[in-house]
Amino acid sequence: MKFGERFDSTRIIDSSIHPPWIEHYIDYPRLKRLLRSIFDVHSSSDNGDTLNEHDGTSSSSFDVELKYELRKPLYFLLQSMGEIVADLSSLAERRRSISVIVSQHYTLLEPSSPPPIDGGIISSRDDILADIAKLRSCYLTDIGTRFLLLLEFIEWNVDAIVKIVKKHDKTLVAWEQTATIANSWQKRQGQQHHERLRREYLPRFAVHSNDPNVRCLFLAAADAGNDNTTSDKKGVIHHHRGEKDALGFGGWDVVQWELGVALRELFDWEEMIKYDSSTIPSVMMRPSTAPTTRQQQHQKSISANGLFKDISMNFGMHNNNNAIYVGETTPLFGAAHKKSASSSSFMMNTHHPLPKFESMTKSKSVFSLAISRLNSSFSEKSSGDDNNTTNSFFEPMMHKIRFQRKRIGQTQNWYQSMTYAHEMLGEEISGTPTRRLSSSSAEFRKSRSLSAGSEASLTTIMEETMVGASQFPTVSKMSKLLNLISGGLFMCNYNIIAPTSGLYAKLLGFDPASAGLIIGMTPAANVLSALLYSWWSSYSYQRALIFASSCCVVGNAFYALALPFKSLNMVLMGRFLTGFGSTRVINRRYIADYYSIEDRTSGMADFVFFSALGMTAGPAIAASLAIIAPSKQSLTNSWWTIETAPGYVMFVLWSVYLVCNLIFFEEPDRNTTGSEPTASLPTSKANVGPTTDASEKKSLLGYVTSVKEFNPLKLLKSNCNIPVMVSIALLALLKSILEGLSSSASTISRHYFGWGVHSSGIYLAVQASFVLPTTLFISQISRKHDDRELILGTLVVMFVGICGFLVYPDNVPFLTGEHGGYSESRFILFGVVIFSACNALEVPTMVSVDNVEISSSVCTVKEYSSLLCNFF
Amino acid sequence: MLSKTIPPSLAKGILNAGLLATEAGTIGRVIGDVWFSRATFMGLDQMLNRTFIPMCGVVGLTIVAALVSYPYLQPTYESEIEDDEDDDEDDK
Repeated sequence: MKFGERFDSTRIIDSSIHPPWIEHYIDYPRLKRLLRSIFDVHSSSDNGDTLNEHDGTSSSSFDVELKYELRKPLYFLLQSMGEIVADLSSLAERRRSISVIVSQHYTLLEPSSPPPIDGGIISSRDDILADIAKLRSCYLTDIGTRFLLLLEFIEWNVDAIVKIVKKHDKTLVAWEQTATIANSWQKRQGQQHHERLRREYLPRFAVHSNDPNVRCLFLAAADAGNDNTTSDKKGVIHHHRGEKDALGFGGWDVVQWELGVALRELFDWEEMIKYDSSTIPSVMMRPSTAPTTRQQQHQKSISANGLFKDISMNFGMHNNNNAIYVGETTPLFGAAHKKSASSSSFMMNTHHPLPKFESMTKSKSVFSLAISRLNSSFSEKSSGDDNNTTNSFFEPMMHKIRFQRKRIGQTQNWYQSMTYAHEMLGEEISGTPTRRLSSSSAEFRKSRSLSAGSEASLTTIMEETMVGASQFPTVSKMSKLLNLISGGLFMCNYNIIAPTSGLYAKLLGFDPASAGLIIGMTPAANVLSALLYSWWSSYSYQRALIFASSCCVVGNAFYALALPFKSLNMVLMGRFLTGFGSTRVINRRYIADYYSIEDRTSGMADFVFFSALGMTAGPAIAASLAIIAPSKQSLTNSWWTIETAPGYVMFVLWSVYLVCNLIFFEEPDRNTTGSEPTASLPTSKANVGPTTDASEKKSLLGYVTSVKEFNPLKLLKSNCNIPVMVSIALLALLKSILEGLSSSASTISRHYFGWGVHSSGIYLAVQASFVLPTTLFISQISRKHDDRELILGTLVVMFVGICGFLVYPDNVPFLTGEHGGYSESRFILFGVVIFSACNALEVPTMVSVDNVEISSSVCTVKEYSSLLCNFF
Repeated sequence: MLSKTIPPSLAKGILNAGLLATEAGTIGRVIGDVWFSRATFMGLDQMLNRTFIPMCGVVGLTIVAALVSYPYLQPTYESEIEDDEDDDEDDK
């Protein structure tokens, strides 16, 4: 169903729209009509007519209307939240009253307790249970249901805004493309009236909008999807402070938290009273003036029913089955008895002192003992059957709310990292969030249709969800680690020779300038290996990885043995073979195919992290080898020198990796799910899993067909627009500068400053260590700035860096000294600036490492460290 | 930006955007190495400037080019993608 058809003021089709609130929704059809009217006017320019510039028919007028529409859901949302909070407040008062009644009910169990404070009649257990049920019903309908509807409300409206803005921009682009050169003046005139709105309304920008309404709505939506509450098997609700909390106002959390706490308390009271109903007479009337009689009656009843017969045995032996909330709570019976209350794992959650508090403290011991007994009872039941959840807290409403917020969170995350290419590819690539969320939506609605309290039904849904998840092809952590290690190892291998390549060439009797050729052999081989692995990884990951690591083993052996054999050709051949060890195409594709959608971004971040680690480790190892390997070469000992040592070290490392790969790497099952193999995209937009037999055959057939029809020039000509060409050109530019900088570092430093291998190795390692911080920094600011702004900024920084890096003549003002005052500090500082700018430029150019987070990298290190520790 | 602007037909198949990006980067590296080697072969004294002055010029030109094409350096929509009339997604 089209999105626009879901909303119609005359009929409601979409079940996520709440009819009574219809006037508060964004009028999507009206905006769509407005959009058509604006651009239908301008479409006449295609025929050479004068561009009709209607007053008010521009992007700005559309923007005004959109802002008007946007206010409707926003104000209604704020109003509804206020009403919900007011209701929460009044319900909290009723809850407090019931808590007093419940505690009074237990006062009767204490023989020495005073008469009731009000001197009135103690409510019967049935009355109390009825009150609890009534209050729970109020919580569920007045708070829970409305809260749930509000979540759906905001999700729908944000969705509508994103879609209509996308539609506006798309129509505008189409209009720009149809304008001819003849009316380019008119086109320019039109462009003054039209501008893309994505910069204002794309969620990652909208949360920083200057318009408070826009900002508030999108922040509220982001906050709605930022559910940090979880509950364990025992029903205990935990709240974790998320890193996005700082962005939101936390109103959703407050309501959800209070609702959960209230329902949990009501459940506990109900359970306690139900338990006692089998042991205590159903109605206890007691006159306030007859304490002795009352005590006697209770002693009799307790004695008769044996309620506390085994209290002494059970006290202190209960478990935490019914315990409660992690958060700030106030024990019902005060701080003096907090230990007792918490030891029984029961804490009343109330933020207000209860009325007549002092008088109630006298009933503490009886109440605690009763709770203790209750917990013991639960414990006994649990010990008999671990799966027995009869008395465990389970509230379907809370489950639904969490489910809905998780769904909104997925949408919000998707919007945060949304690329328009994703949207364009949405229907072509399976497993995109669009489809995933649709299925989640279906699951959610299915759960909504089930009767409240049907725990079994909800459990079934959860099981179905788990079954669905299990259909996702999974690979072992060791395989994932090996995949990442190969990427890091190659980067290490690539950079390890940078400090010594010039010396190696000189040692073999060639010009140190050959260092560039030695280093350049590896990327030359990469040109071929990328093609090879792009094809090979469609059929096997392990074989491709084994081949790549074997090439590296042989290549490094060639490199290391070239000195004894005095052959530059062997060096070049060794580096060329090492170039076939570049499995970055495989690594990215493996992550795209076998990481779950939720893990994919962090998987890409891990890949970046391992690559940066390898990039840093390479020169660092070279610097270390400069200490332990002999620095002076002689004909008698040409096997182990500073120049050959990197080859031996990498030979050993790759050999170990090869063995580990043969033993531990699991070739993924390609028959699990049905989808085409992915292209190795620069982003993580790939399908969920590998191919089935049928689809593989289909894709193979498609492959044969595509080979026949394959015409690269035609394909490039038809597809390369300005941004694509600029991106690719920028990528080539930054890599060439990066390579020139790295390759020349050792030669320059040796020539100007007399640095040795050790110093230049450390310098390159330090330089490489800036990769991750730079990427993190750019990823952070990319949430506020457009890609083109970042590209321009990094280019300017790069330009400044290169200008500072150059050697100027001696007569240049302010630059005194030899070589125009060229110093080590200038070399280091501007070298780092250029290097960082190149890496920074790669982020907005490729957008392959969006959302790289420090936490992700830290978690990766911890996770894989523990994996290796457990293994060894 | 590349991931936001690639046409769908470059998203999969033999000539995909990932491969293009990899090849472009690799060719850039080769160019960088060859350029440095060429500059070094001509003499160590002017090696640094011979390597980086052309790069500085290219970066300067790129900045100018980026400023000229600035309005175009943002996501585009491909008219060949007709998901539906409203550009809305199906609710399957």
